Amino acid sequence: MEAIIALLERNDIFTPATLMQYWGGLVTTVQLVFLSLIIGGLIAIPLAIMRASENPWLSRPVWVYTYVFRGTPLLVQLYMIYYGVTLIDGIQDTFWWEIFRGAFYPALIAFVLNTTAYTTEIFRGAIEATSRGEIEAAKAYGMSWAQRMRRIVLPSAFRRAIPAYSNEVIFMLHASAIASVVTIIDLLGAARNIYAQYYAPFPAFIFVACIYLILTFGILGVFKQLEKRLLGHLRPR
Amino acid sequence: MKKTLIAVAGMLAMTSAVTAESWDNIRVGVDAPYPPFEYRSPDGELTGFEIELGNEVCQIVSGSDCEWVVQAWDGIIPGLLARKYDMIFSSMSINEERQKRVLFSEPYYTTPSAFFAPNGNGFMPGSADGKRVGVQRATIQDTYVTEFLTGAEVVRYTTADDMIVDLQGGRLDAMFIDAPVGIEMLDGNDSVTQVGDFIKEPTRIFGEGVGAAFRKRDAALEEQVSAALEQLKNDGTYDTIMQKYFDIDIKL
Repeated sequence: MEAIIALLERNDIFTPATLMQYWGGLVTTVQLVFLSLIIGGLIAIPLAIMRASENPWLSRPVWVYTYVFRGTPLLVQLYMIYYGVTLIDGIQDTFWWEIFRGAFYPALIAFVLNTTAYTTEIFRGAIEATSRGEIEAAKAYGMSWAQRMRRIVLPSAFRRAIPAYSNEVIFMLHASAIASVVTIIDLLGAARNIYAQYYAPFPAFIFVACIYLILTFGILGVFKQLEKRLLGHLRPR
Repeated sequence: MKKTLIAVAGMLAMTSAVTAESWDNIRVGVDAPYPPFEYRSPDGELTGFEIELGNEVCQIVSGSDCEWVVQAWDGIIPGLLARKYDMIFSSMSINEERQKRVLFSEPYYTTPSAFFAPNGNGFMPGSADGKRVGVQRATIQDTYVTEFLTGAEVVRYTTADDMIVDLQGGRLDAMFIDAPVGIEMLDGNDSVTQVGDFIKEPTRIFGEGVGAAFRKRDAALEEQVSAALEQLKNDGTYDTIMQKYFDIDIKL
């Protein structure tokens, strides 16, 4: 304990000022990841239903979208959106510019588009894995398509999707680090500022790595609880 | 006894060979492009004021041109300390914070900094509250803006070309950059102009000029390089190279 205190007193990097920078970065990272997951998750539900549909007019466009966004690097998508919007003629004079001027919203849009593509495919897989027997039973009860979706297919599909979706959440947290390349001061952006200010790469980055690690374990814990509650019937006895 | 003597003599000979520090090849770290100090000519060769001046220095000290190592700015001091190169010759302003980590040569030039803004957006350095001002991360311009433009939103970039793209795209109200670099990078661009005067005060931030940087233990190399710079300043080589790249006098 004394060794730790001595170490803290001797260092000139982890001052209250830099810790505040890390805190600001943490808030930005959590905002970015949380918002893109919520928005992406909501959009992914109808898209997954369309993608699982047998009608090619519904499923093909979604297929194209998920293939493009899962088949290209997130960094490229971020560049396209961040630099691309400035090329739209006259956008600087519209109220949209208030939104796109900073880097936060272009990054949020890129993240939403990316996570939606992955989440759609995860949900689609879970929807298609619904056993035929359950659907036939629902039909025999005279349920309409909408009733079947709401009462039978979606509830069990969401449960089945949880393990795969927890991977996506953690992937999103780690991928959010690239926001720092377009001037956003997220966790990694704060670490880069501090590294450049004190020329001390190791402490700056190892500290931020620890924060990411803690966040990851937090997410894992939440999903473990969720799986225990919602997938209890699938646990081996 | 005789053997011991020979061994001791051999060891002495080795240590003296090391302390003589004859450099036949100096690896030099540089952050390019940073025109007109260092950039690539159309055929891909590194060129610019510091490249030419650096090669003259290396010729005097080691008898051959420098071996240039291109390194992004925010990793340039760690790269020196990690022995990826032996000297930084990349427009590094001498200041106290850097002197804690590296050893500087005598200064070899100084340039003012300046604000650049898109035409007609009304940016004035004196009233920058709420404006977005771009700087390169961890430069003296960053320090200045952080301290004096407290009401402004400071946006920090890793490279100067990213910053110029954002300035032209309308994301920044202004950028604060080394004046010759700004003038050169915006050459032929009519939509962005310099705003306000050249800024080189206070020296506490802008430093006593730009010097070559070394690891602290390489004091002998520092002395040789400082002597070579002095020689070039006196024999007219420095002026010839400077006039090739600048209209203003940056000699120090």
